[in-house]
Amino acid sequence: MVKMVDKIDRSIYWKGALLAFSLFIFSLLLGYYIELDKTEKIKNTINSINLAIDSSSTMMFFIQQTKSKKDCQALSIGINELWMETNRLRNQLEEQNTNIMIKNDELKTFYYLTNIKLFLLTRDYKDVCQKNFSNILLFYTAFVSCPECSVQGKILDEIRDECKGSVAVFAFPLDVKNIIALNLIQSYYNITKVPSLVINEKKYEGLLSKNEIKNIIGC
Amino acid sequence: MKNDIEKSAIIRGFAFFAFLLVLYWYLVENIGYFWVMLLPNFLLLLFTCIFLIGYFHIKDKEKNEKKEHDEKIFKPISIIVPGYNCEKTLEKCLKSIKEAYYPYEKEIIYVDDGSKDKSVEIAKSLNVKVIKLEKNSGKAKALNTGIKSARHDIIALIDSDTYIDKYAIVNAVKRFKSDDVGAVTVLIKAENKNNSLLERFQQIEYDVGFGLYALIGRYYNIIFVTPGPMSVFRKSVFEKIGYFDENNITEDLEMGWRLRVFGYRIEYAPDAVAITSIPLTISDLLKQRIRWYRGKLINLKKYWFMLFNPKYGDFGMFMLPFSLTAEFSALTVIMATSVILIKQLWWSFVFLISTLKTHTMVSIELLNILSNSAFYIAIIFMVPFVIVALLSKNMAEKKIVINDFIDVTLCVFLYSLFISFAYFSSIFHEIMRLKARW
Repeated sequence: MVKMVDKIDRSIYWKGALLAFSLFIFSLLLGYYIELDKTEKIKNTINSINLAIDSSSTMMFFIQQTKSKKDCQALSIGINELWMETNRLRNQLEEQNTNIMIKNDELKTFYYLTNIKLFLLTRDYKDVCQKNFSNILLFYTAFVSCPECSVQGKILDEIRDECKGSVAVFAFPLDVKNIIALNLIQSYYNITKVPSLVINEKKYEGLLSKNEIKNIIGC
Repeated sequence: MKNDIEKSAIIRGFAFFAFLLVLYWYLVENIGYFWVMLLPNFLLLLFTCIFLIGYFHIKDKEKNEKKEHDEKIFKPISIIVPGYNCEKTLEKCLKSIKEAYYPYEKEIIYVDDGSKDKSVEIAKSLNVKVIKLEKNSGKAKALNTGIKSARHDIIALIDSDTYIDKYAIVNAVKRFKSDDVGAVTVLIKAENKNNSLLERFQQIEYDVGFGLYALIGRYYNIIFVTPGPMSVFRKSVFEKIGYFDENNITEDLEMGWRLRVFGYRIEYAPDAVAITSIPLTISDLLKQRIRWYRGKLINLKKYWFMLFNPKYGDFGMFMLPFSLTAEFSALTVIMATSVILIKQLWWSFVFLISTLKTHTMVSIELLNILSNSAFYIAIIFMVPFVIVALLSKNMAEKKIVINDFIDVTLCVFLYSLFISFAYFSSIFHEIMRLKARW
């Protein structure tokens, strides 16, 4: 009886495993690189926003001290752009967050703080320069636990586009507990539910339609 | 038909799937969809990579193999064609067998499994020996009847919806080189009638499974099925290990595993070609696949002792455990995707309610796939599958054109989902103990 079983070359098993593992590692590295690149870009944007906020704040001090309201015009263009930029960032960080390897919690903290700074600057700007625009604050939690918040966010996006210049929108998460400045704002407006809106210092709980908001702000 | 289902099986089945849903919900919530899907996909990748490396190992061996063979191998042959209501394909099948070249006598037996159409008349008009069973009793029974009445030791079993190449029989028989060869399988191609996408997908699958995988399986002695469309056996082997199991829904798979239990090899003849008809609609294909994959589960229950058993060589240690990746992967893909879909449905519901409340149509933006790292990882995982499929097509002596690349890519994405669903359904059917139909 002739058998041809004996001469089996079993190296294909470890070679195949090696190939599969290399592909696996390579793919993960590529994914990691893509996410790193994305995170880096967002970080750079936040940095430049911070720089712009610092510059605007300094101008604000100057206006406050000299009481020269004619300089407000110079501020308004910069602040309008900052509102747009921060909202774009929020979409990238919260709504389109598809990272699987790099958790950008630190980046989010950085972003929230920047957003708070811009919010405070905007309040000063409104008071000092006596501008006539509406401040809208949206309190939300992540998309997974509050799809309605996402809907409210989209409605606010549309309102911002339609009422350009006459409305400033800020969004703050309600489920982030480790940033004291955020907690201060939450307790100041006494927010307990999501989604909640604060329009010109007045609190509205639950989902509001586009027309309702437009009536309130008179746009 | 409701009486076919036992009450206890339903309760057990629902408990099983509820448990799975909870488990996968927990995993998707805590680990993430991507990581849950990664493990089964990595196992499939590993499996494919081993076969890919295997192809380059044996390519030269196959070329250098001695082409001459011992003329003593050839003996008269009995060819058995079982059939049931097969008037459309039988004539082509029997004619191709009659025209096939063989140096010795060919005895052709058509076993009719209680057909109600003109199959018997067609067989008689072609001067073929006909055995007629009075009532329809399954393919295994028809095969056994044919085998028992065969006059010669070498027996080829060919389905009535299959036709063969002129040299298929002689090329297959010459592979009976040693006594431990229990059966010879051949290169089975899928017939392409309308060139539809479904047929092209199945062609790719047949080219890979019966072409490249079988070729490597031959060297590593891990072929585990003697496919129904065409396989060649020896009557003496049947007398030793028993005939086809008449209660099994996939008798060809059972025979392959039984040959292994008794220590026989299954050989493969890449130069013997049989072309078989394939299901043309998705529902027919699903029915066929549920039968195949359920048959695998049933036979696994019967032959579980071969799993991780070094006594059965590379088959027990590698092929059998790894072939279970398909089941594992199907469960993961279907359950994890269901979790995502259920959540998506819930979100859509909330969006709908919000729309009614706010009178604003809210458009849900699609995620930008190109900035998604998971997309690129999936693409890299796909590469070995695409290469294997293209090599298989090349081996089946077809030219590779640019369209093949698109077909294969679509096949990896779409057809694999369908196959996962078929595996999942087969598990569902088996657990619910739905009546198995042939």
